[in-house]
Amino acid sequence: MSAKELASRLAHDVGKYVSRTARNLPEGQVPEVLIGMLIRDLYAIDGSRSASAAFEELAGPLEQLEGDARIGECRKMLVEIDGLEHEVRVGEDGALRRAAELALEIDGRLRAISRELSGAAP
Amino acid sequence: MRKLLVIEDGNEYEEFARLFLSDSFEIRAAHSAAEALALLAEAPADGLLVDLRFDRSVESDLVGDIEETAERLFAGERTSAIRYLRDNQGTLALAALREAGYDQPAVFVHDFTPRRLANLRRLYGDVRAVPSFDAGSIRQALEEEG
Repeated sequence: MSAKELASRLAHDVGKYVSRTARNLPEGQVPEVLIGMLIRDLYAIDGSRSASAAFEELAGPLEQLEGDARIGECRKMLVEIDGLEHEVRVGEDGALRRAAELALEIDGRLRAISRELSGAAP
Repeated sequence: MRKLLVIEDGNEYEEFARLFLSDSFEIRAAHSAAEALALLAEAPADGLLVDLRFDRSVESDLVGDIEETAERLFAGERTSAIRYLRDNQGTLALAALREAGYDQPAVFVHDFTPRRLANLRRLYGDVRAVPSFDAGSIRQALEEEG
Protein backbone atom coordinates (compact mmCIF):
# COMPACT_ATOMS: atom_id res chain seq x y z
CA MET A 1 0.00 0.00 0.00
CA SER A 2 1.42 3.40 -0.94
CA ALA A 3 1.78 6.28 1.54
CA LYS A 4 -1.07 8.06 -0.25
CA GLU A 5 -3.38 5.05 0.02
CA LEU A 6 -2.42 4.49 3.63
CA ALA A 7 -3.02 8.12 4.55
CA SER A 8 -6.43 7.99 2.89
CA ARG A 9 -7.26 4.82 4.79
CA LEU A 10 -6.11 6.33 8.10
CA ALA A 11 -8.26 9.40 7.50
CA HIS A 12 -11.26 7.23 6.60
CA ASP A 13 -10.96 4.33 9.02
CA VAL A 14 -9.62 6.19 12.05
CA GLY A 15 -10.05 9.96 11.71
CA LYS A 16 -13.57 9.96 10.34
CA TYR A 17 -14.96 7.41 12.77
CA VAL A 18 -13.09 8.53 15.88
CA SER A 19 -14.64 11.98 15.43
CA ARG A 20 -18.14 10.80 14.43
CA THR A 21 -19.77 11.56 17.78
CA ALA A 22 -17.14 13.96 19.08
CA ARG A 23 -18.00 16.45 16.36
CA ASN A 24 -21.64 16.54 17.41
CA LEU A 25 -21.55 16.71 21.18
CA PRO A 26 -24.07 19.25 22.46
CA GLU A 27 -23.41 21.93 25.03
CA GLY A 28 -24.39 20.93 28.54
CA GLN A 29 -25.04 17.41 29.71
CA VAL A 30 -24.19 14.75 27.13
CA PRO A 31 -27.13 12.35 26.61
CA GLU A 32 -26.54 8.66 27.42
CA VAL A 33 -27.11 7.67 23.82
CA LEU A 34 -24.27 9.92 22.68
CA ILE A 35 -21.96 8.66 25.41
CA GLY A 36 -22.58 5.12 24.17
CA MET A 37 -21.86 6.15 20.61
CA LEU A 38 -18.69 7.99 21.63
CA ILE A 39 -17.52 4.91 23.53
CA ARG A 40 -18.01 2.82 20.39
CA ASP A 41 -16.09 5.36 18.29
CA LEU A 42 -13.14 5.48 20.68
CA TYR A 43 -12.95 2.00 22.14
CA ALA A 44 -14.95 -0.35 19.92
CA ILE A 45 -14.49 0.58 16.28
CA ASP A 46 -15.92 -2.34 14.25
CA GLY A 47 -17.39 -3.61 17.50
CA SER A 48 -14.13 -4.63 19.10
CA ARG A 49 -10.94 -2.67 18.40
CA SER A 50 -10.02 0.59 20.07
CA ALA A 51 -9.28 3.50 17.76
CA SER A 52 -5.66 3.31 18.91
CA ALA A 53 -5.47 -0.36 17.88
CA ALA A 54 -7.02 0.42 14.49
CA PHE A 55 -4.51 3.23 14.06
CA GLU A 56 -1.52 1.05 14.93
CA GLU A 57 -2.72 -1.72 12.66
CA LEU A 58 -2.70 0.69 9.74
CA ALA A 59 0.12 3.08 10.58
CA GLY A 60 2.56 0.66 12.14
CA PRO A 61 3.96 -1.03 9.05
CA LEU A 62 4.66 2.02 6.92
CA GLU A 63 7.86 3.90 7.62
CA GLN A 64 7.10 6.63 5.08
CA LEU A 65 4.46 8.14 7.34
CA GLU A 66 6.42 7.63 10.54
CA GLY A 67 8.61 10.59 9.57
CA ASP A 68 5.59 12.87 9.75
CA ALA A 69 5.44 14.42 13.23
CA ARG A 70 1.66 14.47 13.06
CA ILE A 71 1.57 10.67 13.11
CA GLY A 72 3.42 10.71 16.43
CA GLU A 73 1.07 13.38 17.73
CA CYS A 74 -1.95 11.27 16.75
CA ARG A 75 -0.40 8.27 18.46
CA LYS A 76 0.08 10.27 21.69
CA MET A 77 -3.46 11.59 21.57
CA LEU A 78 -4.85 8.10 21.05
CA VAL A 79 -2.86 6.90 24.07
CA GLU A 80 -4.39 9.75 26.07
CA ILE A 81 -7.85 8.74 24.86
CA ASP A 82 -7.14 5.17 25.98
CA GLY A 83 -6.15 6.53 29.38
CA LEU A 84 -9.51 8.26 29.68
CA GLU A 85 -11.52 5.13 28.99
CA HIS A 86 -12.86 4.53 32.48
CA GLU A 87 -13.93 8.15 32.97
CA VAL A 88 -15.50 8.28 29.51
CA ARG A 89 -17.39 5.04 30.14
CA VAL A 90 -18.89 6.42 33.36
CA GLY A 91 -19.79 9.66 31.58
CA GLU A 92 -17.47 12.03 33.45
CA ASP A 93 -18.00 15.32 31.64
CA GLY A 94 -14.40 16.55 31.68
CA ALA A 95 -13.19 13.26 30.25
CA LEU A 96 -15.90 13.25 27.57
CA ARG A 97 -14.95 16.76 26.48
CA ARG A 98 -11.22 16.06 26.50
CA ALA A 99 -11.63 12.80 24.56
CA ALA A 100 -13.82 14.59 22.02
CA GLU A 101 -11.31 17.41 21.68
CA LEU A 102 -8.52 14.90 21.04
CA ALA A 103 -10.65 13.00 18.53
CA LEU A 104 -11.21 16.16 16.49
CA GLU A 105 -7.48 16.95 16.58
CA ILE A 106 -6.69 13.45 15.33
CA ASP A 107 -9.22 13.71 12.51
CA GLY A 108 -7.85 17.10 11.49
CA ARG A 109 -4.26 15.87 11.36
CA LEU A 110 -5.05 12.66 9.49
CA ARG A 111 -7.15 14.49 6.92
CA ALA A 112 -4.42 17.08 6.43
CA ILE A 113 -1.84 14.35 5.78
CA SER A 114 -4.18 12.61 3.36
CA ARG A 115 -4.91 15.86 1.52
CA GLU A 116 -1.25 16.71 1.19
CA LEU A 117 -0.35 13.29 -0.17
CA SER A 118 -3.25 13.36 -2.62
CA GLY A 119 -2.08 16.72 -3.92
CA ALA A 120 -5.24 18.48 -2.77
CA ALA A 121 -3.72 20.65 -0.05
CA PRO A 122 -3.96 24.39 -0.63
CA MET B 1 -41.41 13.19 5.77
CA ARG B 2 -38.50 12.85 3.33
CA LYS B 3 -36.94 9.44 2.92
CA LEU B 4 -33.24 8.67 3.23
CA LEU B 5 -31.55 5.46 2.19
CA VAL B 6 -28.24 4.75 3.91
CA ILE B 7 -25.87 2.41 2.08
CA GLU B 8 -22.90 1.05 4.06
CA ASP B 9 -21.16 -2.15 5.09
CA GLY B 10 -21.59 -1.67 8.84
CA ASN B 11 -24.09 0.31 10.90
CA GLU B 12 -22.20 3.51 11.75
CA TYR B 13 -23.94 5.68 9.17
CA GLU B 14 -27.35 4.31 10.02
CA GLU B 15 -26.79 4.85 13.74
CA PHE B 16 -25.63 8.39 13.03
CA ALA B 17 -28.59 9.12 10.75
CA ARG B 18 -31.16 7.75 13.19
CA LEU B 19 -29.73 9.89 15.95
CA PHE B 20 -29.11 13.16 14.11
CA LEU B 21 -31.33 13.16 11.01
CA SER B 22 -34.47 11.25 11.94
CA ASP B 23 -36.36 14.44 12.78
CA SER B 24 -36.31 15.29 9.07
CA PHE B 25 -35.86 11.94 7.35
CA GLU B 26 -37.38 8.50 7.50
CA ILE B 27 -34.31 6.28 7.54
CA ARG B 28 -33.76 2.93 5.85
CA ALA B 29 -30.46 1.11 5.46
CA ALA B 30 -28.95 -1.25 2.90
CA HIS B 31 -25.68 -3.12 3.18
CA SER B 32 -25.05 -3.86 -0.47
CA ALA B 33 -25.98 -2.49 -3.88
CA ALA B 34 -28.40 -5.37 -4.37
CA GLU B 35 -30.17 -4.60 -1.11
CA ALA B 36 -30.29 -0.90 -1.99
CA LEU B 37 -31.88 -1.68 -5.35
CA ALA B 38 -34.43 -3.93 -3.65
CA LEU B 39 -35.35 -1.27 -1.10
CA LEU B 40 -35.66 1.42 -3.76
CA ALA B 41 -37.90 -0.86 -5.80
CA GLU B 42 -40.17 -1.22 -2.73
CA ALA B 43 -40.34 2.50 -1.98
CA PRO B 44 -38.56 5.57 -3.33
CA ALA B 45 -36.01 7.66 -1.43
CA ASP B 46 -35.33 11.38 -1.60
CA GLY B 47 -31.64 11.07 -0.86
CA LEU B 48 -28.80 8.58 -0.45
CA LEU B 49 -26.15 8.62 2.27
CA VAL B 50 -23.36 6.41 1.03
CA ASP B 51 -20.22 5.01 2.66
CA LEU B 52 -17.19 4.76 0.40
CA ARG B 53 -15.22 1.76 1.66
CA PHE B 54 -16.94 -1.56 2.30
CA ASP B 55 -14.14 -3.40 4.07
CA ARG B 56 -16.51 -5.71 5.92
CA SER B 57 -18.54 -6.88 2.94
CA VAL B 58 -18.25 -10.48 1.83
CA GLU B 59 -17.02 -10.96 -1.72
CA SER B 60 -20.41 -12.13 -2.96
CA ASP B 61 -21.99 -8.82 -1.91
CA LEU B 62 -19.53 -6.66 -3.85
CA VAL B 63 -20.53 -4.90 -7.05
CA GLY B 64 -17.89 -5.55 -9.69
CA ASP B 65 -16.34 -8.55 -11.35
CA ILE B 66 -13.34 -9.63 -9.26
CA GLU B 67 -11.69 -11.69 -12.00
CA GLU B 68 -12.18 -9.00 -14.64
CA THR B 69 -10.88 -6.30 -12.29
CA ALA B 70 -7.88 -8.44 -11.43
CA GLU B 71 -7.03 -8.98 -15.10
CA ARG B 72 -7.66 -5.37 -16.09
CA LEU B 73 -5.89 -3.58 -13.26
CA PHE B 74 -3.73 -5.96 -11.25
CA ALA B 75 -2.12 -8.45 -13.68
CA GLY B 76 -4.52 -11.13 -12.49
CA GLU B 77 -3.86 -10.57 -8.79
CA ARG B 78 -7.15 -11.32 -7.06
CA THR B 79 -6.41 -9.97 -3.58
CA SER B 80 -5.65 -6.49 -4.92
CA ALA B 81 -8.79 -6.60 -7.06
CA ILE B 82 -10.95 -7.40 -4.02
CA ARG B 83 -9.32 -4.58 -2.06
CA TYR B 84 -9.92 -2.19 -4.96
CA LEU B 85 -13.59 -3.16 -5.17
CA ARG B 86 -14.02 -2.80 -1.40
CA ASP B 87 -12.23 0.59 -1.40
CA ASN B 88 -14.53 1.91 -4.13
CA GLN B 89 -17.70 -0.01 -3.34
CA GLY B 90 -19.73 3.08 -2.45
CA THR B 91 -19.20 4.62 -5.87
CA LEU B 92 -19.71 1.26 -7.59
CA ALA B 93 -22.99 0.80 -5.72
CA LEU B 94 -24.02 4.29 -6.78
CA ALA B 95 -23.17 3.41 -10.38
CA ALA B 96 -25.48 0.40 -10.14
CA LEU B 97 -28.28 2.59 -8.78
CA ARG B 98 -27.79 5.21 -11.49
CA GLU B 99 -27.81 2.49 -14.14
CA ALA B 100 -31.16 1.30 -12.74
CA GLY B 101 -32.55 4.82 -13.11
CA TYR B 102 -32.30 6.13 -9.54
CA ASP B 103 -31.02 9.69 -9.66
CA GLN B 104 -31.44 10.95 -6.08
CA PRO B 105 -28.75 13.19 -4.59
CA ALA B 106 -26.01 11.00 -3.13
CA VAL B 107 -24.02 12.28 -0.17
CA PHE B 108 -20.65 10.76 0.74
CA VAL B 109 -18.95 11.47 4.07
CA HIS B 110 -15.49 11.66 2.60
CA ASP B 111 -12.82 14.28 1.98
CA PHE B 112 -12.61 13.85 -1.79
CA THR B 113 -10.13 15.90 -3.75
CA PRO B 114 -11.91 18.49 -5.95
CA ARG B 115 -10.77 16.57 -9.00
CA ARG B 116 -12.20 13.28 -7.80
CA LEU B 117 -15.48 14.89 -6.76
CA ALA B 118 -15.79 16.53 -10.18
CA ASN B 119 -15.13 13.17 -11.79
CA LEU B 120 -17.80 11.49 -9.65
CA ARG B 121 -20.27 14.18 -10.66
CA ARG B 122 -19.42 13.70 -14.30
CA LEU B 123 -20.02 9.98 -13.97
CA TYR B 124 -22.90 9.84 -11.50
CA GLY B 125 -24.73 13.16 -11.60
CA ASP B 126 -25.85 14.65 -8.28
CA VAL B 127 -23.00 13.65 -5.96
CA ARG B 128 -22.28 15.68 -2.83
CA ALA B 129 -19.55 15.26 -0.25
CA VAL B 130 -19.07 16.26 3.36
CA PRO B 131 -15.59 15.67 4.77
CA SER B 132 -16.62 14.52 8.23
CA PHE B 133 -19.58 13.34 10.30
CA ASP B 134 -20.84 16.84 10.94
CA ALA B 135 -24.57 16.49 11.42
CA GLY B 136 -25.38 20.04 10.32
CA SER B 137 -23.31 19.80 7.15
CA ILE B 138 -24.72 16.39 6.23
CA ARG B 139 -28.26 17.63 6.77
CA GLN B 140 -27.53 20.67 4.61
CA ALA B 141 -26.00 18.53 1.86
CA LEU B 142 -29.05 16.28 1.84
CA GLU B 143 -31.55 19.11 1.85
CA GLU B 144 -30.05 21.58 -0.59
CA GLU B 145 -31.59 21.79 -4.00
CA GLY B 146 -29.60 20.22 -6.81
